[in-house]
Amino acid sequence: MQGDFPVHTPLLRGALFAATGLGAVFLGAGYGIGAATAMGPGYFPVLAGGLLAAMGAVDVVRGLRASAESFPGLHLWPLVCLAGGVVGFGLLIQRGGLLLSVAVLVGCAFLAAKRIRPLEALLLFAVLAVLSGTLFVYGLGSTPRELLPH
Amino acid sequence: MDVIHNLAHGFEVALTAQNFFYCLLGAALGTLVGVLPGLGPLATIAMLLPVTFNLPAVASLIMLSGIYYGAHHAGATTAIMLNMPGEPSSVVICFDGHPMARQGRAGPALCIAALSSFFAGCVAILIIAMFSPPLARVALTFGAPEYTSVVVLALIAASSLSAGSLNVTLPMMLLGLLLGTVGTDTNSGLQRFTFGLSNVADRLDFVVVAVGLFAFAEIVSRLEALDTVRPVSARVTGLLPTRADLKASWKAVLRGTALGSAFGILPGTGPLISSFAAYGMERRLAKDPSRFGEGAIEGVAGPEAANNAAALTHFIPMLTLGIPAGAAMALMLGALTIQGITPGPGILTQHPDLFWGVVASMWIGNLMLLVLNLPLVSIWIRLLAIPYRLLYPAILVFCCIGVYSVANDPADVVMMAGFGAFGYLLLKLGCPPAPLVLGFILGPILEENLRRALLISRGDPTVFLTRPISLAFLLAAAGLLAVSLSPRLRRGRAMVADRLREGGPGEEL
Repeated sequence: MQGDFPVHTPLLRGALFAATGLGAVFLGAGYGIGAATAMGPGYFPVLAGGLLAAMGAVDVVRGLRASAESFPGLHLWPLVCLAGGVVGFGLLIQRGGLLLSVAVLVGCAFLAAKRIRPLEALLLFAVLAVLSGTLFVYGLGSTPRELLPH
Repeated sequence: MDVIHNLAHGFEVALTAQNFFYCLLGAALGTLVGVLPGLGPLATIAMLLPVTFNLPAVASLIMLSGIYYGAHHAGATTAIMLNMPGEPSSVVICFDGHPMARQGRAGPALCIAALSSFFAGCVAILIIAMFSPPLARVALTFGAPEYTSVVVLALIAASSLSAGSLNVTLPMMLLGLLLGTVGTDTNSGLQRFTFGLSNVADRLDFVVVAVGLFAFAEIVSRLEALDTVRPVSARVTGLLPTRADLKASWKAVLRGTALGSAFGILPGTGPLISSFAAYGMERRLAKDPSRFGEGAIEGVAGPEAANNAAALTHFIPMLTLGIPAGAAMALMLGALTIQGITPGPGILTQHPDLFWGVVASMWIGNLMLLVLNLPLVSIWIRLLAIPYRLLYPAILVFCCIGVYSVANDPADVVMMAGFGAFGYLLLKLGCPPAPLVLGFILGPILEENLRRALLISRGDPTVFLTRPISLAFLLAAAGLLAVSLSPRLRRGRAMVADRLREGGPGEEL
């Protein structure tokens, strides 16, 4: 992600903090700030958000200096694979059952490492399926039927 | 004597078959997961939290504390064997522990670490038993202004004494405070920052946040450098330390224990500061300081004693005030709240079984650690050789099951992925997640007490300055802020942060 224009870490970080803080102030003000004697639902978020925005702004200013450290970039491939696997697990767990969800998650996890070893993945899936199935049935009181798609 | 009577009662509770089993299980699981590469105490606790939800409250806290000190001590094992601190407080164990391992003296290093940790544990448990009741009595006199100020002190301490500079940790703490407001406002019933999501209508589940920020984010950042496997560089031959080793370390153990016990009680300081302070003290007191860094056994014994003493006395503010002094304690507090127990000064009178049972179980658990660590150390070391590419899918599966099982809500799992991605971004931006988690847990307590304090004082903010206890807390917080701006501490923090980056993404207690 590092191109000709390196983004400075403090700049990015400060912008993230400042934006979140301003968002909290804006939304919090909508909830009703009230007064110090009777704090409204927005009082505390506006206070915390305001401080956050101020500190974020300081970071932004520091990030504008040329000497600031530049952002190392994100490794998007493992992030996308793992997040995809977890989301897949979440979407499948109720209808598809545990075994299918674990299969999808393990599959995505192995994709994240790029070098795929099918036999290893299959073995690991078998072990994890047995372990998590036992945990589900004995630890969390689910019926064996629910481990399969239903 | 009251203390003896209470401890005896505690042992009755802790030695029931069920509680003993969960104590053993917790210590074993903590050690097992703690020695696995890439899982520090926080990620371990976060991942195993849901397992404890179906247990009775006493058994669940006993098991969680077992996981906590088990994982904590495992950090010393990986530091000695692999030069890889699983957590910041083990960084100093690397300095002399790993050189000892390279000289073929891994056994004595591990043995001394385990023994000093056990000794410090025993003393710390006595301190918990003796100081908690009077402290709880003082805390019962606290009003809303005092609580507000002590929470502020805990937040400032956690931000200013963690590995990272203030301009990163303070905003992270504030971000945590904001996340803590997500959900229904207890006072007005208004839904804040829920954006129509039904699974956060009550409040954001802290298991989702903790697993995402600690476990998930850590896996992603470790996958960046998957192929750099660290070989186990030392073999354990003889375990027993020589007479000279024992002679050199016993004083260091005593000093470390005293230092750690005192520092653990103060909010924010905890194991990290204690172990560093103990190392510095040993080096200063040594006749020949040049041995340090080359495998001086006092450099293992002192810090490890301080480390474990502080890790245990860390429980005191959480149990007696309901104010966690670090991120790990914040996770425990969250677990207790899910069990329907509000930690605070009332816990000693309302749940004496819980309090004394847990204290007694700590002693049993520390004894178990000795048994688990000394004869079985070769097994743990073999675990260090499991390749990470087989571990992370397993960690991920258990994280998902854990998060799902909290409320049987798939939306929580999806949201965990979101927090994981956010946590990864924060790691890359150089932001440690620990202050955020502390802010998240303490946010609602702070808001409620601030509201009450200002209501009582009719909106006059000077109420925090005119009440002496509250003023003392605030002055301490201001002092910490001033101290943490000093160049020496800043250098130290930068060093810890660097060291952890080398050994993998860090986390703190």
